[in-house]
Amino acid sequence: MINPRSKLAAEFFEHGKLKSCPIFNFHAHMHDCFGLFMPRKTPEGMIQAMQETNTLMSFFCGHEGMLVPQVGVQPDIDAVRKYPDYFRSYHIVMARYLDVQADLARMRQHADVFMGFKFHGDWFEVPITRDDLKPYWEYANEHHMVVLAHTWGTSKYDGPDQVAQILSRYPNVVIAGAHGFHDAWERAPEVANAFPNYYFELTAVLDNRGALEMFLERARNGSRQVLFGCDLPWFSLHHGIGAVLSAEMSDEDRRNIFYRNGVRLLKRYDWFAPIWHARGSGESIDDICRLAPAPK
Amino acid sequence: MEFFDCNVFYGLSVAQSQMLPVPTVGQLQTALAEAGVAKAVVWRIEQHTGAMMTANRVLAEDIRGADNLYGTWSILPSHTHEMPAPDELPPLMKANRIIGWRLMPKMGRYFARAFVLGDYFKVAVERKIPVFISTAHGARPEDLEDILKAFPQLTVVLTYASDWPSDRAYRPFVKEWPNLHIDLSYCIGDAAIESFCQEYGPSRLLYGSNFPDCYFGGLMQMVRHAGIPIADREAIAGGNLGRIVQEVRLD
Repeated sequence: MINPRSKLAAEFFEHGKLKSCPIFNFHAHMHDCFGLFMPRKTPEGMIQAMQETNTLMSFFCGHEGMLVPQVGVQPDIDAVRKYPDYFRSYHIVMARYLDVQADLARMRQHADVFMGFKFHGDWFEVPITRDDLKPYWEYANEHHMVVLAHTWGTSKYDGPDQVAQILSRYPNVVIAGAHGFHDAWERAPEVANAFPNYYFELTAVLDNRGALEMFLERARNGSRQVLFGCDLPWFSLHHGIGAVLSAEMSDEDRRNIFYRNGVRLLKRYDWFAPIWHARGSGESIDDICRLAPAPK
Repeated sequence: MEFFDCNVFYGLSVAQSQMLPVPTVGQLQTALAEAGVAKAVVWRIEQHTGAMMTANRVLAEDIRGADNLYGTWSILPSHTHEMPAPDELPPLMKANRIIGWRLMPKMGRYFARAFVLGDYFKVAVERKIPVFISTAHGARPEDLEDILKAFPQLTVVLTYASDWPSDRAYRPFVKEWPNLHIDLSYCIGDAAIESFCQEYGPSRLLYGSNFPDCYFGGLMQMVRHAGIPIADREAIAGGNLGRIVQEVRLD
C-alpha cells in the first residue's frame, strides 16, 4: 500500500512502473568506484534498472572521469554514443587537475553528449567558487546548462553560501543541488526562494524522512524546484520512488518531481524532444510546462 | 505480500534531532496501518538515548495487547546487576511481548564483546532469542566477529549502518555464520537484493525500514519488485522474520 492518500503509490506498488508517470534520474554515475560493490554498474545494467521503473533517462558523471584522471571522460562519451536514448553526461570538473582548454574543447566537440558539468567541491576539497573554475561556470552560463553540483550543508567547499554565490553570478545556470545541503536542510528552501534556478536534488535526501517535507513546506515554489535522483548504480530507483511515494505531498507534486520539472529543464537541449515524443508519457511538452511552470 | 518490519522505533530523543518523530505507540500503529505494514519488531529511542531500563519498562507497557508489535529490550552487562539476570529474563519477556535483545554499547558505555555479554548469549542460543545489533549503536564489526566466534549459533539481526552499499563488509559475516540475518534498512543499493539472493538465497534477508528516520515505502517498493521469485520476496518481506520470532522459546 505504502500511502493510502496516493493513487500513484497504489499504482507504483502494484506495477513497479507507470507509462503515465515516467522518471528522470538527474544524479547518476557509472562504472567502477573504490568503495562500492555495485552489481549493475555498466551502461547495460543501468538501463535494465531504468527499464524496470520506466526511468526514461539518467544523467550521469562516470566514476572513472571523477577518480582516474588518466582515463578521463572517454567512457562517458562512449556510453552516451552507444545509448543516446537513455543517457546524457555531466562533464566532470576535475578541480585538482584542470585543463580548461581541453575540457571546453571537448564540451564543444561533444555538445550532444554533455548536458553540463559536475562539480564536487568536497571530493576535491576545492571551493566551487575558486577563481580558476570560472571558465567552466561561464561556459555553462553562456549555454544555459544544467549543472550537477554536490552540495553538503556543512561544507566550506560547496555549502549554501558557495552555491548562492555561484547562482548570483551565473543566472543562466541551473544548479541541481545534489543531496540538498544535507545536514543543513533548512538552508535549501532559503536558497531556493532566493534563486529560481536552484533545484533540490534527492540523492541521499530520502533516507532522512522529513527533509523533503521541510523543503516542500518552506520553498515558495514547492515541488517545482525538486529533481529526482538516486546515484544509480549506487542506489535503487525502486527505493527512491518508494520513498517519494511515502513522503507527504500530493500526486501532482510527485509528478513534478518524477518528470515534469525534468521535461521543463530538458527541453532546452535539441536532443530532448524526439526522445520525449518517442518514449514519454504522451503529454505534450507545452502541456507539461503549463502544469509545472518554471519557478519564479 | 505481508510486511513484517524488523527495525521500527518510536519515542522522543533528547539527544538527537529527529525531523518527524513518532512520539507514541498509537501514532506508530497509525503509520504502520497506513503504510500497509502488518507487523513490526519495535524499540523505543529512549532505550538508546534515554534511560535504558526505564525505556524497556515503558516499551513493555506500550505494546501490551498489541498483537502486531513485538518488543526488544536493551541489555546491559550483568556485572552491574541493573536488570534481571539473563536466565531470569525469558518469562518476563514472554509476559511482555518481548522477543529479542538489542545492544546499545555506545550510549550504554560498555563493550559489545563475548566476555562481557556471554551470559546473555548463552541463554539466547539455548532459547533462540534473536540479538539485534546495529553499527549505528556502537557495535563494531570486530565486536560482531568476537561475539559470533564465541557463539556461532547465535541468531543475530545485523543493521549495518556504517557505509552503503556495504556488501563487502557484511557478506563475509553472512557466509561464515548461518544464523546471521541482514536488516535491509540500509541495504538500498541497486539490485542489492537480487545479487545477495543469487549468492546466499533469500532466507537471510529481512525487510526493515528504520522508521521513523526513514520511510516505510522505499524498501517496500524494493522488496516487492525485486527480480526474484515471488516466494522469495514474500520470505524477505515478512516470512523470514516470522520464522525467527516463531522459534523463540521463552517458556
